[in-house]
Amino acid sequence: MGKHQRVWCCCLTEEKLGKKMEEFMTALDQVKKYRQLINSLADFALIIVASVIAVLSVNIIVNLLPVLFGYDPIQLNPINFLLSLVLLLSGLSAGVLWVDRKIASVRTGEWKSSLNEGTPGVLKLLQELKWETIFNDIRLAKLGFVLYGFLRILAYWTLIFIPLAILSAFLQSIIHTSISLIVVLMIALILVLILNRNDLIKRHEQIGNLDSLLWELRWFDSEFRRADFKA
Amino acid sequence: MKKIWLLFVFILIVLAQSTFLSSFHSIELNVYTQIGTSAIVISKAEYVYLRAEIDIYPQVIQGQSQVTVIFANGTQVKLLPSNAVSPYRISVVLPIRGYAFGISFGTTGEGVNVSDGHPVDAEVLSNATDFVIGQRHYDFVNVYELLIQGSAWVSIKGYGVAV
Repeated sequence: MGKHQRVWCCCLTEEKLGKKMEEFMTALDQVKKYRQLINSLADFALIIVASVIAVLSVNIIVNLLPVLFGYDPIQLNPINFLLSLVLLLSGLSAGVLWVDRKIASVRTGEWKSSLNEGTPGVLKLLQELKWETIFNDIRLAKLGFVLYGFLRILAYWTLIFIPLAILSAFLQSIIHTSISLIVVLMIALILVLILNRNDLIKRHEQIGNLDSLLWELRWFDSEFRRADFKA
Repeated sequence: MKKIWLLFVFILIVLAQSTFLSSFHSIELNVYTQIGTSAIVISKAEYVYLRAEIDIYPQVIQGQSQVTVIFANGTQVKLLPSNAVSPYRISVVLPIRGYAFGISFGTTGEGVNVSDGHPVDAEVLSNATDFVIGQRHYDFVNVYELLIQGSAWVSIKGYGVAV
């Protein structure tokens, strides 16, 4: 029995270790993605604020046209509304797509070939891990998870609220029954939470599991290093 | 770091745009003038650029219009019966005449009620037989006046921007 095998044979079988390592590395890939999300938030904010600038510019032009050239604002209002809506939705979509692209560009699964080598591969991977960096990354990933959840809910909320508000206005004009905007907002929020429930729970559990997995593997790593040193 | 600065600049632009948007003001007034003389007074703060449209629909009795519009320079225009359908339109542009940085003011007078919080105003004074055009001058306020003799529907719409 080799010096390395002495360490895990009392606690973890080779199969269990490989499984745990795979679980851990998969979670670390997720952490990398969340970290990239945090890094992309500045871009996202820039895109959203740029679209707000575009909307306000359109509003200023629409307000200036009656003052400078005598255009009728009543005729300009629908154009202003539609243009503002298109610009805001375009900005939101561009921001989400940009962040999505950035996250998709994160290289994941590079550890799979090492893991396929069995125990030596696992040990090699463990030796290469920088725990302090991982701890920091996980802290950032948690923040990323919260922000991601918030942004996702906000984006879905906006996307669901707009058609509901238009439907509400349509109903009001047809059957003269007014639905409060707050009620429409609440309905949209409930729909968003129902639609995103599974995804949010899955990601929340993933982050929670990451903590315990991290400590377990860190303990194993220290044990492994101690055995290595004694040998 | 560059992105943070860019974001900061963008936010400043949004703040500047929001401030500029809050400097737009409008007036809308629809009044029926009684038989006799009525005065139309449009007033604005000196630092406002205002464009106003005055539409006058004369009352037509037995195919005749008895409505006359009197301008500040003394010109008198007798409205036609056809103006009851296609109104007689007066377009007024009151340009910027001055600035009032950091000054809080409020001016009231005959048909005038302008302040820094309400920089554009339009009023129609009925029974204004004694009203003489061009006699009133106010600090920080520009005024446009005209008289209508006879009964008519008057619609005033104005859009201004304070600079």
